[in-house]
Amino acid sequence: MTILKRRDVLAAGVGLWLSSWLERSARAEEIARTPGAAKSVIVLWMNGGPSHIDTWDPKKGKVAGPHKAIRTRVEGVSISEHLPGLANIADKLAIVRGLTSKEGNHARAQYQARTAYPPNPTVIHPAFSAWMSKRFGEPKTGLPAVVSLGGPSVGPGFFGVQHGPFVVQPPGLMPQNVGYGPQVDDARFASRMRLLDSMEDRFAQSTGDPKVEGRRALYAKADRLMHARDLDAFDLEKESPSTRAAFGDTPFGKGCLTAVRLVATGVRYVEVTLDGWDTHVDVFGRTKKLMGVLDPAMTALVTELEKRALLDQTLVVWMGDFGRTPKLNANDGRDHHPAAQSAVLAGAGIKRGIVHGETDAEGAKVVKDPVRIQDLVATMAKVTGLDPADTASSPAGRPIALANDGTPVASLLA
Amino acid sequence: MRNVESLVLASCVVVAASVAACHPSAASRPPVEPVVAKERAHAFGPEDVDAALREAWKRAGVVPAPRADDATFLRRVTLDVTGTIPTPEAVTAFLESRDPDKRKKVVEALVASPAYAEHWATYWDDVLMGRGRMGAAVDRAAFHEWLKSAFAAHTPWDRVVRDLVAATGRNSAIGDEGESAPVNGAVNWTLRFRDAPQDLAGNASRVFLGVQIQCAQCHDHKTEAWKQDDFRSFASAFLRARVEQVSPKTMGTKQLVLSDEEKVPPRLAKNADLAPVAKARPRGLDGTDLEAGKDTRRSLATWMTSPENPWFAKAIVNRMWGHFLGRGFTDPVDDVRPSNPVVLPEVLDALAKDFVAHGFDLGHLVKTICATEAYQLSASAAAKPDPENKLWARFHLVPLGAEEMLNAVVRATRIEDAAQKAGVQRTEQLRAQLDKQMGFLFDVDEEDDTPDYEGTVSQVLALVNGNLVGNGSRAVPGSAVAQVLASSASDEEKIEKLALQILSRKPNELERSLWLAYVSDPSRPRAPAPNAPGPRGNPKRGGGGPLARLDGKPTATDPKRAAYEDLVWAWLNSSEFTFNH
Repeated sequence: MTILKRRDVLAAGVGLWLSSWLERSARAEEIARTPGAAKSVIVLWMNGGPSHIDTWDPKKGKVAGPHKAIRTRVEGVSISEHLPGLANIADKLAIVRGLTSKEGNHARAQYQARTAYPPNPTVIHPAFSAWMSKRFGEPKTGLPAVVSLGGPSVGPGFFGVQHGPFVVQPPGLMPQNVGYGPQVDDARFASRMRLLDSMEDRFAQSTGDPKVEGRRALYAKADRLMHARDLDAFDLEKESPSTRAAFGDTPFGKGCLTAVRLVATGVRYVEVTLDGWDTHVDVFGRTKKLMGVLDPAMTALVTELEKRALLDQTLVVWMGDFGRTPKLNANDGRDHHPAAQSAVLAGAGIKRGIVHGETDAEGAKVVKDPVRIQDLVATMAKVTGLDPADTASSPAGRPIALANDGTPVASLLA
Repeated sequence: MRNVESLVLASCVVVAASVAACHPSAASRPPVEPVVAKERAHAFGPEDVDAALREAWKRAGVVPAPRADDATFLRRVTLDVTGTIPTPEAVTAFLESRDPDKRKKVVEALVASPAYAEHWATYWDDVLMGRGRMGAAVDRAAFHEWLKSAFAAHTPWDRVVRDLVAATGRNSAIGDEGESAPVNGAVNWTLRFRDAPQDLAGNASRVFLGVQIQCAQCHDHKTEAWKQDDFRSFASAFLRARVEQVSPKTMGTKQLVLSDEEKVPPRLAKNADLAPVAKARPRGLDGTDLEAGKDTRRSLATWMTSPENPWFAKAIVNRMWGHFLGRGFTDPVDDVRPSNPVVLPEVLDALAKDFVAHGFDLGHLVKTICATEAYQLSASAAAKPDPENKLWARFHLVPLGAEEMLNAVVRATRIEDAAQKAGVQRTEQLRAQLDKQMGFLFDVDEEDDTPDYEGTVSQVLALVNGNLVGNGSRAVPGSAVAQVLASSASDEEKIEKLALQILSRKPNELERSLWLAYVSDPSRPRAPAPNAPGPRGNPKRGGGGPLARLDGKPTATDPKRAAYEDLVWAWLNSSEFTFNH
């Protein structure tokens, strides 16, 4: 069927475009690979701003609240008692405790975390994911370069929508609209596409506008995705019940398992969202629940990647909007606190079993080895073989560097 | 003011004088009404634009496209002025009319229609507020209503902008019980930026003046004329807005009242990023001193919208021209600077003067633009344009935006009638859900003209397999295709009716025979049952959505019906449908 369809498409005149596209993406692939670099990135996005104190950077005394700290597999390093699975694989993780920024507004912080820049109304910066898409090209499988599970994530900015994330909502289901509508089968679909192609031929000819061919190319791409063999990566029924159970029966857990399956096919960047971290109210109750979702999913993610020999070619990053205040507010919640936050890295190119940076006794300020957001983005770039100082010209002609003025954090690099 | 030639220098003097003249009494009055400069009444009509463009085409050796036919013109202008496609009845009436002035008259009718106000309210809502989620300080619906009433009343543009920039009052009636003070939806724009007034300054400058002053926020640029001090002085004028909460803190939108302060409020003055801005003396972009105190925003609004302001009228004319012609006098329309020069600056100037002389009337501007030869050219390969078609020698194809796309599909397919017949009770709710879906999928930046088509695979998948087009192209009871199929007309008549309904035109001879052959093909296979498994595990295809109720009904009950559905599906997916052309 796929072969027959392809022939239809070729016959309809998209062939030229398709072959040059394949050539281009093959070339992009060649340029792309620095030996030893991460092929893919999985970002676990903690939407709303996760409390660092209640997760990776536990404190003693009044600040701590009811959450206790537990020891991890790494000597002298403790994390929240509600992350027992992760404590057990802490020897595979690099915990960053000195992450710091100035953006305390959700939208601004979310933008900065993905782009390395604070928002600026005169230019929309491409997210790091878009740089991966732009520099490495699309995978050959027909799957998109960038997938957001539970999105919307942050977009491609001036790189253009073709470098934006393919959003699957909610994670764990097949993407929307990849299957035919009611009463459509292969034969009817092929007949429709032929009919459409003949209309497009005439319109392209009569207008002479290149946008028509651009649009047809996108239709060919959608057709490839619909019929891609690797689209099965989204189908978790293909996994054993025990594997699925390890990730937890939650949208985030399913998203993490999907992420593993996606990077196995060569998808460049996958972001999985866990929402709910904006804990202005009842921070202890709510973070405990969230960690109950996070712990099995992230533990299984790292473990499965390793089991499938993907961990040494995949960079895993845990991060969110910002940290939260040491001081409790009147609703037993913690407010926004960009000055001190945590992030966690694991996988390709990253040291294992370390803690980098330190906050004061309250978790209010970074007192050792501060890492700015742009340094984190620069580190991610470095690990994937991109140049953090790589620049692209904005529509207004300004050079925009991938990681702003960030530099890779040497002590995180293996 | 060191930047934009002597023209600006000259007008600085005029502006300074007029600001000084109106200021002694400004404190006690609402923003001053502009004096329409009758003595300088300037007429620069469509014929003048045509003459200037023909001259430019000649100089550039450009061959313009032939004039667009009536059906193309009607679809184009209906989309541009009202954000939707014409009804088949409107198309038929327009094609049959022998009135030599019918193009002019239809534009007048569209400008006067209720759809005009709704379309431009949606347009400006997008431009000023964006598509992102707003915080609790913003009542988006109240803002939209305010815009809509301004466009319905054909309020002059300078007045709209003054009312927006200097807006005071309450943002929302949400939570009101019984009689309450009136709401001024306009304040929501300022409230959107209440934590970042420097962004408000950047937004105002970009949108209303076409100047990207915010590039100078961080530091001076060697290549551009604006300096950091220019930015700080201009941004300083936005810092004296006072925000007070009037309702108790609730979960949804907060009730806030916007007014003016004598001094920059401490929460802003103490902010490290804003301190240098707070210290700067408020000034217009040309160096005009503004009031520093409770009148700052009003004097800013007066300066901005003055007939003498060197940017204000040109910015809106450029934007509107770009909206209608697919490319402005600059590209993008909101970034005028020495390194992004204006195409045919004398035409833009003259149109701007004409716009001012006509009391900043947007309707007048729309009628002028729509009457030009350039706007009425076809998107035809017969043209020989300049390399980027900067001179509009061929009509630029413009992809439909989210709102236009949804309006067009709904009107073409009559999906709302079908949904109602299938028992979907609340059509407003259905509409809102579809709106959200489309807004998410088709968030295009229409201020930008790129030669390539910018689209996403998700958009295409939604059109190819999604249930708006999917069910809209099925012969479910109530839908356009079902209604046409139920008639006793011949196949040829049915095809023509459907083409009028969806493509807003009649088929040509070639198409007639091709499409007739398609629906009459005896070898066509039977369509599968509605719940037959597809290649990707239907029915688990995701995206049930508001129209899923229609999924289960078999409609392609015989090969001919299926063929008609295919035809409608292909039309809805075609570039002809999804571009304004």
